[in-house]
Order: sequence, then structure tokens, then C-alpha cells
Amino acid sequence: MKSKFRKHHRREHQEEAELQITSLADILIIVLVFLLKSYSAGLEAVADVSLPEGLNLPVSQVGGQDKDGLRIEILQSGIQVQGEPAAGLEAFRFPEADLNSDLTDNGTSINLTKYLTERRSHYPEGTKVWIVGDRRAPYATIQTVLASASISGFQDFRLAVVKDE
Amino acid sequence: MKMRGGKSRKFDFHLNIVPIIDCLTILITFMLASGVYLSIGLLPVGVAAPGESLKEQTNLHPIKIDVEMKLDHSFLIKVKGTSVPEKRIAASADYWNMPEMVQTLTGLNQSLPKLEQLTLIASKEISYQQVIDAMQNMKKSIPKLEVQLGGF
Repeated sequence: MKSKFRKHHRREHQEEAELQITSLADILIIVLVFLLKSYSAGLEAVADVSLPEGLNLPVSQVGGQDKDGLRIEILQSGIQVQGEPAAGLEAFRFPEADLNSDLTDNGTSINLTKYLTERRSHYPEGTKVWIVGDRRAPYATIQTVLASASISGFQDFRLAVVKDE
Repeated sequence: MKMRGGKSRKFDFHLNIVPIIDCLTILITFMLASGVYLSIGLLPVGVAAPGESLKEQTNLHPIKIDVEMKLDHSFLIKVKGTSVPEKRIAASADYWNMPEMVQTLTGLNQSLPKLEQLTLIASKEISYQQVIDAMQNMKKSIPKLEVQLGGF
């Protein structure tokens, strides 16, 4: 009698000790949905590329999103268009030999203009150009890149920034 | 469920959700590990560069504001197409006085309803980050206009 009671009592205890994991599953699903919704992969997800190493984008509180564009990256040692080298830079500056004298107190880049003009026909009218520039670059370099792209036939520009929210 | 013979039989289902939880945990871990926590935005910008399109634009928009960023961290605000005098905003604590620039542009935006062009002209040596700082403040002051980069 005593041992029967013990067995019965033990079984009751075993049943009580079952972990209720349905609520845990609910929470995990909610977390997963939240992560899927807020998942942000920046340029990497949009254009299937990664930002070049050592490139520090400027920080801004404003800035929207876009689907597709021609990326012009301004690095310390050169300009890359869609990841391919297009012109050389020396400490974020165009060498004097690469500059035309067609702007007020600056010039367009000979190499970058040639590169973009040759490839202009590969891109449809209205292609957006993303300027992915390092925050340490001087405005003169940004000006040269914008002017070179502009005279090569590109008109719609976006500046890539890290959003400070 | 009624069974033959009139007896009802109760089915006791137990769904094994442990593997589901395993999958969810792995998915969440993967998403947390692979997520990029830098949110990248794109600022639309116009280019006030020499060319046919700009000449056409200039004729269409007689009232425009040029904000010049000088090397001494001062702003020079010029309103073209009206008699509003130009205004210099001196540096504050050796940096650009952004609040006063915002205040000035907001005031001009209210007093000039036909304003249709806003251009930022920075000195060559000013860093890109400082240009972006000024641009975002200009955008906040006059949200209806796209900021153009000038000085070409």
C-alpha cells in the first residue's frame, strides 16, 4: 500500500515537471517576425556588394532608401565604379595630371570621365548614381566626381550615408 | 468522434514542438549574427553644374538661396532674385553655427513662398562629413526643396 502510494505520488510529480514550451515557441516566433521585419542589411542587401574596407561613410540623420544604382566609391587611394578601379587618388585627392581645368577653381577627372563615358550606354536613361564617399574626403574630390559623372551623362545623384537614428 | 458501437473515443494529440523551437533558435541566432546594424541611407542631391539643363533651371527658378561654407567655419547666405541682403553667420566655438543657419533659412523659407532652389557651395578643403552636416540641416530647414551642390 505504501509503495503504491509512492509510485502514484512520483508519477504525479513527473507530470507536473513537464516544461510548457508552447509559450516559448510563441515568443520565439514573435522575435523572429520582428527580426525579419527590422532586418537591415544596407547596401549589401540592395546591391549584393560589400563596402570596401577602410571606407567610413559620413553620418547623417536624414536619408532614404533606394533599390538600384551605379556605385561610385571614393577611397583613400582611388575611385571605384561598381567595384572596378576607375581613377587614382592620392590621399583622397585627384593628382594634378588627371584634372582638367573646366570648372571654376577645380576640374573634372580625365580618367573618371573617360571610364564613365565609355560605359554610359550600358546604363538606361535615369540611372541613379550613388556616391559612396569616405567622410574624410575633401569637397574638391566630391565636386570632381559629381562633375565628371554629370558631363558623362548621369544626372540623378544620391549620397550614401550612415543613418544616425 | 463517434465510433462504431456508440462509444466515443478521444484522441489525445501531442505535437512535438521541440524541433520547431530548435529551428527557430538557430534562425534567430543566424539573423542576429548576419544582420548589418549600420543603417545606410541615401541623400538625394542635385548638381548645380555648368550645362544646358542648369541654364534652363536657372531661368525657371528666379528666387534661389546659395549657402556658402567658408574655410573659417562661417556661412554666407545669399538670396538671389530678391532684394534680401546677404547674411554672414560667424563660427560658434570654432565650428559652423548650424542652429543660426537653420533659423535663418527657416525664416527665409517663410518669407519667400516662391523659393525654389537651395544650393550649398563649400570651399574645396572642407571635409565631406561637414558638407553632409550642413546639407542635413538645410534639408531640415526647407524640407520641400532638394539641396543642390554647387561651386562648380
